[in-house]
Amino acid sequence: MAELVPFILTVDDDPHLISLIESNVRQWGYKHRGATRAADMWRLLKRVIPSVILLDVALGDIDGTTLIPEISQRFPSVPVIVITAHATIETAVRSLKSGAYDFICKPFDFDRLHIEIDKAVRQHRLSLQVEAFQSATRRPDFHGMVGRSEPMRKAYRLIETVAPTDASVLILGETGTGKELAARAIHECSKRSDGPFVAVNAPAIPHELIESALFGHEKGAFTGAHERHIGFCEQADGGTLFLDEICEMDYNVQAKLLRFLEDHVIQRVGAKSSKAVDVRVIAATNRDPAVQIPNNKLREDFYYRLSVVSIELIPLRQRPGDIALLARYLLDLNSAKYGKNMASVSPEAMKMLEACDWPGNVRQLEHLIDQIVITNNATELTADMLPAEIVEGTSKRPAAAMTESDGAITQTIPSIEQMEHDLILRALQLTSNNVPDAARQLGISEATLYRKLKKYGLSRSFVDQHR
Amino acid sequence: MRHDAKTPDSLVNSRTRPALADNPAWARLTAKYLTDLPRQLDSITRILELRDYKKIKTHAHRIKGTSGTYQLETISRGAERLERLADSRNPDRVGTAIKEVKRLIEMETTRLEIQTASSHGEETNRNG
Repeated sequence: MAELVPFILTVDDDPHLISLIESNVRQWGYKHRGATRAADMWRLLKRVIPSVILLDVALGDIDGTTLIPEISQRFPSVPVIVITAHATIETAVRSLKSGAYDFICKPFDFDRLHIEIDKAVRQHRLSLQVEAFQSATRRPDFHGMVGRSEPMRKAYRLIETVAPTDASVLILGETGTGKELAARAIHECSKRSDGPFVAVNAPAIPHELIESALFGHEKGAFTGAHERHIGFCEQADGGTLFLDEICEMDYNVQAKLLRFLEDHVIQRVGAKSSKAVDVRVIAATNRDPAVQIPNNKLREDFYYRLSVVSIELIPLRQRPGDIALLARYLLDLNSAKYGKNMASVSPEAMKMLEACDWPGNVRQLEHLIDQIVITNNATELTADMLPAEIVEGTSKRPAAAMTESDGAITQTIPSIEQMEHDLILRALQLTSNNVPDAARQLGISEATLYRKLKKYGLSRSFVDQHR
Repeated sequence: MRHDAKTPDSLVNSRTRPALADNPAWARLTAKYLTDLPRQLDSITRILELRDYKKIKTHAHRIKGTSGTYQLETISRGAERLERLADSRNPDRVGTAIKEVKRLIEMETTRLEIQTASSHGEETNRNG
């Protein structure tokens, strides 16, 4: 994002020329910075994005026009005016071909330069407006879900198809794949969008309170029921009730919800009468129903009643083509949120992000970018900002045996050491590489965790970062 | 402003130069630049001893562009001649061109001093 007062960057190997330009540019009401070498220019561009760049062709031994393609790629909205003492058609053509906005010959007249800079500043403002308009109208997201891969497009189409109906929907997908976002998208695309969207995270509610939380209770219905409580099903009247992690719900509660799905009537705990409510139910789970049903974790009848339509959200590692899109989207979002200027991801960093397995899916990437934007003031996300497990390519999905409880079909049995290694990595990812927190999560001492980090060759990066 | 090739440099320059009295920042920067130019010419002389004509061309090219933008057109044209002569790889001719640019720098420095003094005098008269 450019500063409010446009700022002009002059790149010329003669500091005397930079001084003269600066003196004039400041009189015209612009801010100005100068760089006598290409390296200085790149350093400056890491901190701030100018409105216009004045670039000399003869930069010592470097031909300034060779820098234009990279400038244009990194900062497409910034016009580059080439300044040259080689007033030839060839130089002009080369400059414009390489992406320059315009070129001006030395010695130049300052009235002409003033006109050119004003024009370029207007062009820059226009580009920013177009960018803002494009991002508002052609955002890469679908109600907050980001991805252009075929499985994601299929999910969007299914959401749009099912949204106008009142059919129950079951959303399947690993943790962090955006199940709640999909549920919200269905709600927003439905005729219920003006009504409430009530999300219930089953594992977060104590087992003994879940029935009352869902259906409500009357005052005095049980010890501690000092007030009448309106349950989530009733709160969602006229809207959508989203039940997350349904396999974590008590089997009996599932039976009551099944009844509710069939007759749309609730009876608060301790109430003498029942009440009809108009609620659409969307449920989600990160487990495989085919495994959960025989294990008595999910009622078969409840499952069939919920899965009138099933939407599967595939893990991020199965749609690597969406990682770049997501990274840029999240970067824009967080830069705007925190008032930062980070606008791009370096090619090297992007390669590393794309090579990662993202066991925590979109949520993991989201947390990582959030953290990077908060802790850095650069204009570009570079490889050195990434945590060690991404750089070293060790952020892999936990070993197969660890997912057995999720109902995943497994063929191989990993070694105990492999499992420990993976568990440590997982804990570090979940705690954003905070070693003391990870140790707590793993139930071991900090010293033991450091010892194990060393044992698995993970020590240097983590110890350096957190000790 | 375009100029006739036969017009003496001194006259062309006096017409094209902005009124320095009206632009003190420009005058200050020009003085600073003129002070630094002899050092640049000394550097070119040393490079000539090494017969590095490519480097001489680069330096002359820079002086041509910057001095021209400062509207020191006589120096700019002198530097342009030097840049062109570097291609001849003739040390005597290049050396003569360097001396010529040095002479033009001295001339411009004197002119600037006179202009500054006269504008200072006018200012004093206006203020009574």
